[in-house]
Amino acid sequence: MDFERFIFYFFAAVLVFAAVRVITVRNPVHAVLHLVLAFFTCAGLWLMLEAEFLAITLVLVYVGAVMVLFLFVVMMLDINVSPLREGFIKYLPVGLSVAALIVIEMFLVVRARNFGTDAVAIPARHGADYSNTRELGSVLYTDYVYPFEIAAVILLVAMIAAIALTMRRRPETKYQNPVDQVAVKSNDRVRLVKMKAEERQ
Amino acid sequence: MVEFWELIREPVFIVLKIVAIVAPLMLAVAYLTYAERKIIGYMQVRIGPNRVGPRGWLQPIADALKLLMKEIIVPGNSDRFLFLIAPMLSLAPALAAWAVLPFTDTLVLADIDASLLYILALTSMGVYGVIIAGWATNSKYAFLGAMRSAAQIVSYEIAMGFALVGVLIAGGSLNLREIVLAQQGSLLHWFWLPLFPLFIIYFISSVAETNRAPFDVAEGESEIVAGFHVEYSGMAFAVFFLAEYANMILLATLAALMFLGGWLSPFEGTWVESWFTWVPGVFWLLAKTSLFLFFYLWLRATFPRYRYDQIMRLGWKVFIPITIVWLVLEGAAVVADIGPWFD
Amino acid sequence: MIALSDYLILGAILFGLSVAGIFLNRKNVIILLMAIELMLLAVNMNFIAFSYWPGHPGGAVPQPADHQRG
Repeated sequence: MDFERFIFYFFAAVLVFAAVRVITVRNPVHAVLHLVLAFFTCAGLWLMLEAEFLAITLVLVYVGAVMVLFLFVVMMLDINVSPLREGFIKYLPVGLSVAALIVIEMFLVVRARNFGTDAVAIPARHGADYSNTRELGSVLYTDYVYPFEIAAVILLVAMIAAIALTMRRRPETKYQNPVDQVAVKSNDRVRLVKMKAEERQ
Repeated sequence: MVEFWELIREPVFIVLKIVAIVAPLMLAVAYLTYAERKIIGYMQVRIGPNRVGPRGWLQPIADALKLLMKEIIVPGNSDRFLFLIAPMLSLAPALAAWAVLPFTDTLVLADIDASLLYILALTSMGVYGVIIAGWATNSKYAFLGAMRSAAQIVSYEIAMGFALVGVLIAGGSLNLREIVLAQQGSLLHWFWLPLFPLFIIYFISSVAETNRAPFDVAEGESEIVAGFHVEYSGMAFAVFFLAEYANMILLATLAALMFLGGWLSPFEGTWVESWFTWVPGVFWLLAKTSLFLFFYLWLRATFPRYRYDQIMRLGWKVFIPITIVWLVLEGAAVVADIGPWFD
Repeated sequence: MIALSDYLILGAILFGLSVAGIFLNRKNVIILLMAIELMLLAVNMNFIAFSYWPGHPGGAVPQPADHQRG
């Protein structure tokens, strides 16, 4: 087993372990952290495929932003753990059998006979001056410029939709306006009344 | 025997290089804390630490020894594993990012193609240490600190990322070495001038990213005692401390590399240039980094803490629009070949 | 050396696990979403493998051996 193969199997084992933990672990916070681990190992595997730009972007976008927001939501919701596991045992057989069926079907298509080294030769490694970022950019902005622009517009629409959905101010929610709180003066809150002292009996 | 040496030579040299970067970095962190206490002391008309060693020079060593000796107390209802791993999660990215920083034209541990992207990815990892610490502690104050910090870091990262996009457009590369080399010429060729708003935004965002005053609501001693690290003691606390200062030095070095020409001499292109050719490039880089570090300390001594809603407004409604506008202007300048920066 | 099929089988296993995750975590929308993220990750893994093997970043599925035989 050469070193490259060792690294591949190491990352693959960690990835599968993390994925199993994501779907079986009881605490949602731990599930998110295992998903982060899965993304990391996946980035490692992508580096082996000379996709540095996508590997680093995966860490930057998914681990650095999306998963932080997931973690944020999971922590804020403070979910009670036990009711979440209802139906876990009940659905375990059907879930596993469907998953196994899918994996076996896919395996029959992608097994080594069809996509192994004999069927599809391994491409030669690029030299040290090869820039994956540059290659990707030159393809993205020439051949695929229209799909790229369409994807950008769809993202923009999604962003506007997200903002529009959260912009409305519901009357029943309570919120503070810190500017008003800071600008308040003692006269607005307390009214000092001059009263005559009670007369001595 | 010779074959074995051939096999392990490269790993051994890489480890030695890593030690050669990390050991001075740790020393710099220790003396940055000393410098902080001294400088803020003088700014507040005090003397600062002056008891341990001559003029207090051994104070950071004494602090480190004290923290090493102290017990690490793990709160009863905390998530023990996450509680202990959180400080390491905040320190590791701060150290790993140093792998791709060039100190001079040839002195760099890993001259990778997309080093700027790599640094951006790693600095965005730092938030995990804070969030996990806040959650694993299982304490209200720690949790509040973690939530504040997460929201703040995620918001300022966008502005910071856009500022870096401006730098890579101007430099024409994601490689930090090439970005520095693109600034050759003179002091006015450095990117601080054409990218002035991005420079300011990058610096302020880096203060917010490291949770330093005036953006230190995540710690907020006066409101939530110490935020995410309330329950940390001993070495676990010291590691958080190390991470904060290592991050400060990292972001200051990045600012020096991207906006102040890194190891390039400030006298380049002037008539005094020949007087300073004997000065090594690393010296200029360190001088520029120290300048930014001084700004960090100066900010902390000068400004009161920002209010939380003001921090959010500054990040989302001021910084991000300005960076986007400047990126559009910069793109136009690149298309129009406006010299001497964009030709 | 690692064959294309290794990456594709890894992607398939990941996909199967996320399908199982959707069945197992029906009570929790957030873990459901995370299972979908895993599924996307598996798909992306295949995309990247298919862009590496033809040797240009545009990517293509190589002709499987079954079809070559006839």
